[in-house]
Amino acid sequence: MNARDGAIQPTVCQCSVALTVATLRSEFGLANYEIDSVNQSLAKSRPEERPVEGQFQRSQMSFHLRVVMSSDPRFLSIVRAAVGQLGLVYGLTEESCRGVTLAVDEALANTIRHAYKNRYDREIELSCQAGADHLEFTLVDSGEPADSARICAKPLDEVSLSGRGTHLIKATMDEMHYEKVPRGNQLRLIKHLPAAKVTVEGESSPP
Amino acid sequence: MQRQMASSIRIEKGTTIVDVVGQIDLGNSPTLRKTLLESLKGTDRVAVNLMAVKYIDSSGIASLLEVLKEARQSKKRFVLFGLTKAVSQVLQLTRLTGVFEIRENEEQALAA
Repeated sequence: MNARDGAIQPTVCQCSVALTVATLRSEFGLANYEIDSVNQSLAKSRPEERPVEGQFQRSQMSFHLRVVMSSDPRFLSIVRAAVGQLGLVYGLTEESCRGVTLAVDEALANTIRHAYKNRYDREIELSCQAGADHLEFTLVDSGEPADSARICAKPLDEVSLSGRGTHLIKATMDEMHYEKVPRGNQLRLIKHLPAAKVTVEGESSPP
Repeated sequence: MQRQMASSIRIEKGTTIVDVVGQIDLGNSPTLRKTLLESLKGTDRVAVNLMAVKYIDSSGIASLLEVLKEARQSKKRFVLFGLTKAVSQVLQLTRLTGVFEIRENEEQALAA
């Protein structure tokens, strides 16, 4: 079976996750993680339902990565790597991938700085879930709740030294929902996916 | 991709050039800020080479802004050059492209 066969795609997804998990284990050993599902139904589909060479339908795959990490900035680069790869697999442009990665990173950084007051030993739960038409990132922390009156309170063109993180999140994500939940604070970030089909890594969509 | 940030300093034609490599984020932006502020003390011109910076977040941008403010107050030049797509994107999103003095490459930065 070669990489152009649509059924190989689960391996692409699993490789991305495995790399991240291996990095978590080998370099830090502190974060807990759980892959709730890396599920691909292509292998089960009938031949006539299989996508054209090098492609498959988003509706035929799902991805859910759950990371429980210490509020330590050293973990941010690992999360960025995973989020960036996820965006690429789901067909986002490089620019959109950078934007989504930036948004999730800024959200985590805000949690560390504001909710946990720069304490690096608290817990953050990040859930990355992909649907047929969107990517959703959910962050849960048990720190100080955000002051909604101060979020994006400053205009962006003001040359201030702080307060840009939430602006960046709003500029790059399609939806941002902040709410109090029994476990603490929950932030949901949603990015709608373009209509194009997902392509196998390294290949471009046909016209 | 290099996940850690590193920097080194050299002098070219009277300008202190700070070469920055890697990813700038909440964990290392204070180090970058300190390095740049120290560099500014010993010279009239500092140019920051961002060609090898693959990621920068708002804390990194805030560090650059703080150094820019210090440079303006002390009437010194502070130039950025070699911006990657990632750095350019964040500067555009934060609407700070026009705030910094930006040059395409080192040659232009030294001539500025």
